[in-house]
Amino acid sequence: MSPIDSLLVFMIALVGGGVGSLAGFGGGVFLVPILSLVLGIPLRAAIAASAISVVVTSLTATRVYLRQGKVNIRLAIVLQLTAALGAAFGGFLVVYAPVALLQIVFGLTLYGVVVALLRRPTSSDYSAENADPFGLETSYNEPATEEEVTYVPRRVGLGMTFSTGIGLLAGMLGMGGGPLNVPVMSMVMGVPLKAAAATSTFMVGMTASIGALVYFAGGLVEAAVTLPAIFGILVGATLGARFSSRAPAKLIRYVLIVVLTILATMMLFEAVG
Amino acid sequence: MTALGLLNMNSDQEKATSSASTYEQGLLRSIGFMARAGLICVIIGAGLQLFLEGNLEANVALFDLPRGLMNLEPAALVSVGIGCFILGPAIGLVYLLTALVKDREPQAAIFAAGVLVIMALSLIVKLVLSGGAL
Repeated sequence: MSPIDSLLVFMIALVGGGVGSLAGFGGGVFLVPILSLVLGIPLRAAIAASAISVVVTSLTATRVYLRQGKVNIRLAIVLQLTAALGAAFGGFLVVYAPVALLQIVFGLTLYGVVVALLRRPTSSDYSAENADPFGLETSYNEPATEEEVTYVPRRVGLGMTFSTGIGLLAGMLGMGGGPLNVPVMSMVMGVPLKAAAATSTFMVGMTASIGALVYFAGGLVEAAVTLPAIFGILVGATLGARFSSRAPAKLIRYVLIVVLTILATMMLFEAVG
Repeated sequence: MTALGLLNMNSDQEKATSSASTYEQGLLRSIGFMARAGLICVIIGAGLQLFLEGNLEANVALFDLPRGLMNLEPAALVSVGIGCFILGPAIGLVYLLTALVKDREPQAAIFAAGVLVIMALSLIVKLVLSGGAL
């Protein structure tokens, strides 16, 4: 891989990280299809690079959310148990499954992310009065209203079931699962949106690291692809977060929907073509 | 409910709040350490590799890491850095597990232990399936 190709990987990751950050998820959804379809990087190497980039981004962003007190650590651990099972299985599928299958699953997942973007979770009807057998009640300070927001996640079993599927997809596709985690937590489990995003950020690192561990052990990690991807996504996500308040959210969302739809379609054509 | 009962509940809540803050602080320290260690290794290793070899093509497999590090191969340092990133969440979980056990929260500790076991088993099964060769 030439230095120019590594630079291209960095630029693609930069844009992916920035746009992903503005949309509220990691750059993995862009990185894998663009690296494999546009730059011709082997799909498994692209998935490995993306997974590690997601881990790094999660480590960085989680620290911010932990300081803000928005991460529901107990909820993350509970959901992570089934997500980890899914991610482990997904990680193995990456190593042993045919590339065409991975492309089909990736394409369909991207369509799912488009649907999630179109539906866009609104503030959930959270409550502090739900039954709490797992001891998941927590609170955080909402700076916008300077109020203490207290809630108890509901439908934990259903959330864990969804987490298994999300973990499987994340493990197979080198994503963190953020675009799917947040709607599940906020719309199904009644977690306030900001807490859902923060908790999801913490979770995606753990989920992606399970797949990444298998890729690393399987020799799929190529430094020439992974390192530019890591730094590109980190810089992009940082810039995206910095400019998020000035960014036209609606326009970004529509651009994302179009781009992801195109990428999903290209991925499916690549699989069957 | 007696005042004493209320007092106990309040002190329990304060304890819970301070425990939650402790968990967050501990997580910050553990994942922060791994992130910084990874970054330092990757930057030094990649810098040396680019300076000495002009590219980042060399990759060092997991089992070759000890040999690579002893031979001071830059690619080995890069692999160590990447390994630190990958293990960052696991180290955070190890911290959480020990803290939850110490605070006698068995339910949460079991979940944290379960995730760690799955992570470890994933690696072990991969190694077994590869016949120990990477």
